[in-house]
Amino acid sequence: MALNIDQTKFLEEAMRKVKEQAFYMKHAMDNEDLKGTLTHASDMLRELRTGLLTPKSYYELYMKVLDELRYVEDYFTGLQKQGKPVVELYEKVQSCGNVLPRLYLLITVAGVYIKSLEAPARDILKDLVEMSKGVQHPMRGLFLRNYLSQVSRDKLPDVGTPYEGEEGGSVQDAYEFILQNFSEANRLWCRMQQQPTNAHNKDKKRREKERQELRILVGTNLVRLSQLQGVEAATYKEHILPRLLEQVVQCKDTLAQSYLMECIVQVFGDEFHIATLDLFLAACTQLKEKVNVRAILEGVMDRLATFAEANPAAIPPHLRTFDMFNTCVSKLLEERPGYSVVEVLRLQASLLNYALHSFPGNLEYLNLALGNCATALADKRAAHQEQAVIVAPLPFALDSEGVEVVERLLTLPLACLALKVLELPHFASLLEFLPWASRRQVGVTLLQAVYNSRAKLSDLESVEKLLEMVVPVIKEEPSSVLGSEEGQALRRQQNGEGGVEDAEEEDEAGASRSRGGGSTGSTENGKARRLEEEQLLLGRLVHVMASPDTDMHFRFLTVARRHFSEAPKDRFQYTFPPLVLATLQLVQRVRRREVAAEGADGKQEGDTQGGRAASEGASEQAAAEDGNGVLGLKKRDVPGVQFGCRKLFQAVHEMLTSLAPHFANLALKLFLEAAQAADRCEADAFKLISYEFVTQAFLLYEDEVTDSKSQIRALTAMIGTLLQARHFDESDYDALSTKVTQYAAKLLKKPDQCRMVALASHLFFVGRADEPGHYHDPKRVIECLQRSVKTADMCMASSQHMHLFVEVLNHYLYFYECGCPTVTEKYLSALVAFINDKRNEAALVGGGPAEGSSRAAEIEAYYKNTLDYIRLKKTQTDNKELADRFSAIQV
Amino acid sequence: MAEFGELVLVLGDLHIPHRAAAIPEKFNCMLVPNKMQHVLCTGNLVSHEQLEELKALAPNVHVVRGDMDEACPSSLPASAPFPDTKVVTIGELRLGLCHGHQVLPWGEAAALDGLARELDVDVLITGHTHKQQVSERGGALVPEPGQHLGSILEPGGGGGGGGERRCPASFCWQCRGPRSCATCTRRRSRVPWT
Repeated sequence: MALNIDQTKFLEEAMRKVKEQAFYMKHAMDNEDLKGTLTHASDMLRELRTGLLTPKSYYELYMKVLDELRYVEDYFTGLQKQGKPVVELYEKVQSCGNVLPRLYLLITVAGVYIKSLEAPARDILKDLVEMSKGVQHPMRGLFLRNYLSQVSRDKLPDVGTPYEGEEGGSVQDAYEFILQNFSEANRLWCRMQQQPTNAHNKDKKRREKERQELRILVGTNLVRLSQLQGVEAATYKEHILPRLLEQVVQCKDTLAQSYLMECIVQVFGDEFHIATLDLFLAACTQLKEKVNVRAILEGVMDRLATFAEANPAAIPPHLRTFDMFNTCVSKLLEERPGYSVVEVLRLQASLLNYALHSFPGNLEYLNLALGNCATALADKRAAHQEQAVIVAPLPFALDSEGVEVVERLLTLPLACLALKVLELPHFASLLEFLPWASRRQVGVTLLQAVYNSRAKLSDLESVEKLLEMVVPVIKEEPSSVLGSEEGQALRRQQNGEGGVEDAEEEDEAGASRSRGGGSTGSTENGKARRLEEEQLLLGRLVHVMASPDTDMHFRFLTVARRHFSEAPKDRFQYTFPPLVLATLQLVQRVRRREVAAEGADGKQEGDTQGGRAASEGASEQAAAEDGNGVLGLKKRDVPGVQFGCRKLFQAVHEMLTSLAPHFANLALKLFLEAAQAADRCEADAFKLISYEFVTQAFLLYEDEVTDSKSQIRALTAMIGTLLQARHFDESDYDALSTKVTQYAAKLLKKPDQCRMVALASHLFFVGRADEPGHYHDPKRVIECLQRSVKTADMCMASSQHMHLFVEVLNHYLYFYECGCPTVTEKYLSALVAFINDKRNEAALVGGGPAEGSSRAAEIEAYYKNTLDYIRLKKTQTDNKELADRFSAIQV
Repeated sequence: MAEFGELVLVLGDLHIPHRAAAIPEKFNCMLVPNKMQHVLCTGNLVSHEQLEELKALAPNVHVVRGDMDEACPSSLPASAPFPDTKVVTIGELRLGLCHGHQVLPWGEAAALDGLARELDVDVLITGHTHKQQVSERGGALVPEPGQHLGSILEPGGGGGGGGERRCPASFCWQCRGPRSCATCTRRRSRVPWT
C-alpha cells in the first residue's frame, strides 16, 4: 500500500517536471533557441535517471518523455531542412553533461541524421549501439536500448531501403546491429536479478516479477530481426540463430532462457525452424534445469505439425525431423529424470501428433512414440510395485490427468489409421495402462474409425487383435460394481419397454408400470442408451470381418462368438443376431462349395443321404431332445471344405440355445430363419436340420410365448417359414402344419383365432399342381376356411366382425383363383350373400355410421374393392378359363 | 418435364447391424438431406440409429414394422412402436406401406393384392423378400431391375396435372446393393399405367 502511494507520488512529481521542462523546451524551439532547447530537453530527460520508480511507473514516464522527444525530432528535422548540417547537431548534443540525457538526444538526432542520408546508416548505428553501453543501470539501459530499437526501426540498411548501399551498409549490418543491441539488452535484463540485494527471498521474487514485466523490451529485438526483408533461411541458419542461441545458453538465466526460446519459436517462420531444427534442439538440451523444455519442445512440434498439415510435403523427409525430435526428447528424459509421468506422456503426445501430421501413414514413427509412452509407464509401474512391496499392495493406476493424456494419445491416430492401428504393437500395450472405462471409450472410437474407413478385416490375426482391443466394449470390467449397475439399468429399461407393449394391449397396469419405469432417473436411461449404442456398434463388427475362404470366414465368426459369449447375457440380444445371421449368410457360400465338390462325387450319394434322413425323421422326439446329436450326427467330410454347412448350423444351434432362455421371441425368430437357410441348401440332407430348427421354435412357442401379440407374430412367422420350405418329408410337413393349425385354433381371442386359422389354411395348398414338391390337401383348406367363417360369426360383439368376413372372403378368393377344388363358387356366392345380409341388417338397425364412421368406411372400401376385383376378373379376356370360373360367382 | 413432382425415397430391410455393417457407400452418398420430401421405409431398421438417420433426410418419414423389429426389443421406439401398415397420400396417390411378412405366402402377388384392396391404395410398397420388383397384376410387367437397395418413386404432377398424370412418372432405381429392397405392387383397377 505504502509503496503504491509512494509510487503515485514519485510518478506525479516526475511527470510534473517533465511537463514543465517540455514547456520551456517548446518555448525555446519557438524562439529558435537551439541551446535553450537542448538544455531543457536534457533537463526533461534527466527525470529518466530516477531510481525510485517501479518498471510499470517508469514505463509510464518513459512514454510521456517519448511523446515530447517527437517534438525534438521534428525540430531537428526542421533545422536540417533549413540547411543546417546534421553533423553539427550530432556533435553539439554530445556536449550534454549527463550520459542518459545525452544518449537519448544523440539517438534522436541520429534518427534525423540517417534519414537525411548525410551519413552512412551503418556507421551511425554502430556508433549508437557502442555508446549506449555508457548506461549500465539495467532498467534505464533496457529502456534506452528500446528507444534505440524503436528509432532505428525504419532506418536499417535492409534490402530495398534507401539506407542500403556501398556506404550505408547491407542487411548484414542491419542484423549485426540488432543482434548487438539484443545481446546488450539481454545482458542488462539478466543482470537485474544479480543486483546486490539483501538476499531476501521476497525481494528476489519481486524482482523476478519486475523482470517478467520488462521481458518485452528484450523480445522486441527478436521481432525486429524477423522483420528484416533481406534475411533468408540460410542467413538465419548461418549467422543469426547461432548467435541468438549462444546468447540464450550462455546467459544461464532460467527466465531468459524460457522466454527467449519461446520467442524464437513464435517469432520466426516455419521454414526457418525446419531449416534449423538441429541447432534449436541442440540448444534445448543445454538449457538450465528449471527451464520448461517440455513446453518449448511441444511448442515447436505442435507448430510444425500444424504447418505440415496445411502444407503437405513441406517438410522434406531427408531432414529426418522426426528422428531429431525423438532424439532430443529421449536425451531430455534421460538427463532429467525428475519429469512426472504426465509430463513424459505430454511430451510423447506432442511427438505423436507431430508424426501424425507431418508423416501421415508412417506407422514406424507412431509406434515409436507409443512405445516410448509404454516404456515410461512400464518403468513407473515397476518402480511402483517395488515400492508397493514395502508400503501397500495398491495396483498401479494413472491419475486422471495421465488417463486423459493416454486416452488422447490413443485416440489421436485412430481417425486416420483405423484398422492400421493393429499394425502398431505398442498401441495395445499402452491401452493396458488405461482403466476399463477409458479402454472402452478408446474401443468405441476405434470401432467407429474402422467403420468410417470402410476397411475390412480379412486375416485371423487382425480379427483376434481387434476383438482383444475392444474387450472392454464387449464385457463388463471383471468384478466391477459399475458394470452390474449398468446391467440393472438395462434390465429396468427393458421392463419399461415390456410395459409399453402391454399398454398397447390396453393393459392399464402395464402402462402405469412403464410410466413409473420412465421416471427412475435419466442418468440410468442414459447409461442404458449408451450401452445399447455400444453393443449395436459391436454388432456391426461381425460384418466387417470377411474372407473369400469360407473356412477362414467361419473362424472369424467363431472368434467373435467366443468373445461375445463372455459378455453379460443381456447383451446377447445385440451381438448374437448379427453372428447368427452372418453364419447363415455364410452357409449359402459354403453350400455352393459343397455342391461343387459333391458334383464330382456323383449323384447316388445324395440319394442314400435322403433315404437315411427319412428314416431318422421317425425319431423326431429324440432329435428334439438332443438337437446337437442330430446336427452332428453325420460327419461327412467334403473334400477341401473344413467347416461344412452342418458345422455352421451346429454353431447357430448352440448360439440360439444360449440366447433362448433370455430372449425367447428373438430366438424363436432366428430359429425359423435358420430353418429357412437349411431348407435353402436344397438338399434332402438338410431337411432334418431344418426340421430341428422349426421344432425348437415350436418348443419355445409352447413354453415361453405367452402374450397374444407375440403369439400372433410367432405363428405368422411359423406359417410363413413352413410355406417357404420345399424339402420337408411329407409326413414331417404334415405334422408341423397340423401343429401350427392347432396353435392357431387355441388362441385366446376369437378374432385372432379367425385370422390365424385362415392364414394356416395356406399350409395345405402349396405350389401349383404341376410343380414338383407341391402339397395339396384341399379338404383341410376348406376346413380351415369354414372354421374361420364360423369363428368370425362368433365375434358379433366386436366391430371387427365385418372386417373379418371380408378378410376371409379374400382368402376364399385366393384359393379360388389358385384352383383349389374344394373352394367352389358356391362358397363364395354364399359368403358374399351372407355379408350383404349383414350389411343390410346393420343398415336397418341404423348402427352403420354410429360406430366409428371412418372404420366403417374403411371396411366398406375393402368390401367394395373385393367385389370390384371379382367383377374385373369376370371380364378378364386374357385368361378365358379364369374369367369363366369367376363368372360363376354371384355378386 | 415441367413438373418434377415430389421425390419419395423408398427403402427397407436395412438390417443394420444384423445383416450388414452399414448402408452400401454408393447408396449412402445419395442419401442427402432435403432432396426427398418423403421417406417410406418398409421396416427392419433394427436399430434406433438408423431411424434417426432417416429422420434427418426428409420432413416426412413413414416407417412400418418389420419382422426383426418385432423380435428385437431394442429396435422400436418404446413410446411409439411402428404400425403394421400405413397409408400415405402423396399428391393424388394413395400409397400403402407394409413390411409384408404378415402377408402369406410371402411375396406372392395375389396375396399382396388382397392387402392393397384392404388398405384401398393405388400403390402398395412392401419389403421382406429382399427382392426388387414392381409388378402389376394382369397388365404389363415393369422390368425387374435385379437386386437394388432402394428406389426413388416420383409421383408425377405435384399440382399441375389432372387425372392422367396421377400415376408415377418414373421409378428411379438407384443403387446396387445386396439387400434391403422394396417391392411395389400396384393395383390395376385404380389408375391406368402409362
